[in-house]
Amino acid sequence: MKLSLCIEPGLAVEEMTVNPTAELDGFLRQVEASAFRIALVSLRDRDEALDVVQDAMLRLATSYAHRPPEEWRPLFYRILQNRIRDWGRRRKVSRRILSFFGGQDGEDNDPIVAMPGPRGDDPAQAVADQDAMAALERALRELSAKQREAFVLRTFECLDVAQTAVAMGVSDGSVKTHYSRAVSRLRELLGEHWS
Amino acid sequence: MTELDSSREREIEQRARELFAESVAGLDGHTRSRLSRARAAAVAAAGERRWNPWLAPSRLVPVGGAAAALIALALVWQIPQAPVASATPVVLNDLDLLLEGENLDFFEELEFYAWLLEQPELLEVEASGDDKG
Repeated sequence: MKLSLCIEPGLAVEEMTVNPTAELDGFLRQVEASAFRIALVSLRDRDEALDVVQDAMLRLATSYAHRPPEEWRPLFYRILQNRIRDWGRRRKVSRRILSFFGGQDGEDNDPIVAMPGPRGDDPAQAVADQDAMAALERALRELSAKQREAFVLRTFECLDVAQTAVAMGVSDGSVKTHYSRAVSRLRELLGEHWS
Repeated sequence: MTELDSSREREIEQRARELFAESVAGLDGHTRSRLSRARAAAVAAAGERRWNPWLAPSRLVPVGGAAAALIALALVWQIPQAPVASATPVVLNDLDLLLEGENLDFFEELEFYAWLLEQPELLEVEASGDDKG
């Protein structure tokens, strides 16, 4: 199956109806699944990832829906990244508390492993893709938060440098630096045979 | 960075993009359903924020009318107050003057003074007394 890897944001906005509510619905429909997968890469918890995406959608809708639609994309991913960071911090604190009282931290239940793999007609290829995706996600978690954000936004969401800078709250130059280091580090982590 | 390194990095980017797109396409129905519900809630929240019932025209007309009435009342209250405020002391001063005890005595004895003027012999005695004095 041929998948559309990057949606042209400008074209998508032009194609949307002039009804603001329908326009917002169309935008959220466009980003919700990939936003969930991005959140899942960092949080590794399906429910938490869903909560974070829901929170980000609500925040965009209530606070920024009046802004021009071309601004929604970087704004949405900025909100999402902030939420992911907040949840990550909260989880660290709760894990420390749990470990102090001798509780389980849930690290053994990796939802990435449990997730259905990439679709494909060839079962062998599907398994290979699933393994490759799991390796990629493990490698992504080895990156610094800024490197991971730059890579995810540029590669998965196809944001340009300026949009990524808005989403990350950093300068264009900083985006380029983080992205370049992220790709270089991924190449080291994934090795020469990953594909 | 060598040409080979750069080529490998482009390859990683492309493969990562493909895998990510496939994994998004392969999301299960339960997750998609929850995302749809979350989206619907967000869009509804945005709609509510846009359409504030308190700002609806049907509510604004009476509110606007009441505001206009209040402004009109304030103007009516304020405009006559300036002259009234300056006139009030004058009226009070006149009343004070009219109500002074001396003048009331004068008005009470007005009939006596009228009768006196009708008595010529008394007036003559008064005139002669004046000449002597």
